[in-house]
Amino acid sequence: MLTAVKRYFRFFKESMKCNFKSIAEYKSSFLVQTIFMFLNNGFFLLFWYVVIAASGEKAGDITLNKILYIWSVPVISFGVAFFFFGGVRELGRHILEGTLDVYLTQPKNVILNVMCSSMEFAAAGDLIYGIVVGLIATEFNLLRFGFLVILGTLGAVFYICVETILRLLTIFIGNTDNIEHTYINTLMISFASYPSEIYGGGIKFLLYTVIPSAYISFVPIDFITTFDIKYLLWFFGAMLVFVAITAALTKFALKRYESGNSIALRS
Amino acid sequence: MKKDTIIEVEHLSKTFQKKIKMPGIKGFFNPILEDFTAVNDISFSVNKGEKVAFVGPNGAGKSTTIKMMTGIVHPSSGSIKVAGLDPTKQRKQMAYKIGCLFGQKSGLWMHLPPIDTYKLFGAIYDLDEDETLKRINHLVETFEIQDLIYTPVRRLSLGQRMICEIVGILIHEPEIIFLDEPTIGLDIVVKEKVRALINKINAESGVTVFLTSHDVGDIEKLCDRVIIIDKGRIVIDEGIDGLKDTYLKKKIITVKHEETIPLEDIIYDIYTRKS
Repeated sequence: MLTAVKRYFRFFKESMKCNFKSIAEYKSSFLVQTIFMFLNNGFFLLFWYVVIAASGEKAGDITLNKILYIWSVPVISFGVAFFFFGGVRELGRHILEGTLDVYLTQPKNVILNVMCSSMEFAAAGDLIYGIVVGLIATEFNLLRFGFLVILGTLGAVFYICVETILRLLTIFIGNTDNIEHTYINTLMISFASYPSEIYGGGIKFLLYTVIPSAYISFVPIDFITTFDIKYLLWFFGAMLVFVAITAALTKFALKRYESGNSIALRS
Repeated sequence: MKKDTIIEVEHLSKTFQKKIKMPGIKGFFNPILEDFTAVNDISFSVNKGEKVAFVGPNGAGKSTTIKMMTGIVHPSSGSIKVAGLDPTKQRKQMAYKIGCLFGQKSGLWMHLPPIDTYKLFGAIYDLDEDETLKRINHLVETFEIQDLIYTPVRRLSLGQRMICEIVGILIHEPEIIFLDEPTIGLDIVVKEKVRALINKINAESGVTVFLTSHDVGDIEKLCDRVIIIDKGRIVIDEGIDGLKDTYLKKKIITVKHEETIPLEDIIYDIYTRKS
């Protein structure tokens, strides 16, 4: 078991080396995308600042500190998921073009292998932004900030699971680009970007089940701000369920993978 | 499985479902599903160190068979054993023993020099760093690609890239290499080089070679045995010499003269020589 973990760690390290060397080939593009993503996120926060400043210290029950947390934890999760494991977004293309074959003939977990095969440049901007805003949200309290970074990082698992499930659907229904965009960007991220207080029972139920916005936002934030262990158990329990569903679907879907022949280069 | 047998395929079949869309709205909502048998009850075995060509026209079932043997596609029925392992159930364990090259799909990272991907392959196949470097150096010397391994793959010619791809699949010293159209798109000089290198590696390490190709040169110059597949069924399974003796009895020779020779003179010449 330990040897397997060590081997996967070395594989991850070598994959990251390759990814960073690829980034070095396109330094300017990387820098521009990172800076613009940082600014993009900054404008959302500015919007909230204006709304709350106009309503006194808080708008309803929503404080600026709460908004800072919301624009830190889920953003770190997104940054970790797609900067380090950006290849997961390529999974659908690999299935459609038949280039998944290369990964299937290698002795590593196929999904992990694909995940580590490329990075999404702009996600670096999210990661840096989330950490900077997290420092402000926790008011430089190292314990809170430590948990914020750890839970933010682990929250990436939820993004990766949902992304993997949606991309694997390509095997059954063909191109899922639009479904993925709607599910991740319009639903999961949008719901996670507002305080949990604004959602009613039905929507809340969805956010704790099929659209796991709660686990990349409300649940970890509630733990960081209250240190109530029940949120931590809730977080890890949900993570186990999502990983188990993803693993089962992966096994089921790969059995039905039909491959294909196209001329393509790995990038 | 006999002692020297490294690949054993028994009654292997693969059926895909094809969607046939009729014209109009009805066809859009109600496509007809039809079964298409790509591989139909084939059986064969390959011995250790053998070089086998698996050939046939487009759509004959070559790639589907190779994909089932490498664990990429799951068979509909039948059994496969590669290096004593079942590709459908032991894909990861089997991956350590095989090397796969798909002429149309790259295993190398496009923006990086091959040396970086080779090091990553070392980690993928759980070789330690020293072992990986030793193996890379050996292959780089054998294949004489010292001047290619530090150039980004996107700047290599197709032939150079293919040679670097072959090196990539040999990093972990596989027992069997599966080559799906390894010379596709290459010019005649590079084709010869690729064939010579595959022969060299087979002679040196005794690696079993299983290749698909449309190129007669690949089959003639690389392989000891040919399996011909058509419409999902094996039609010929024979040694390359036997195949030449049995099927290649005629040769067409084209002769071009500098000056025009009347046809009747040629006919007369042929007949008088014969008599």
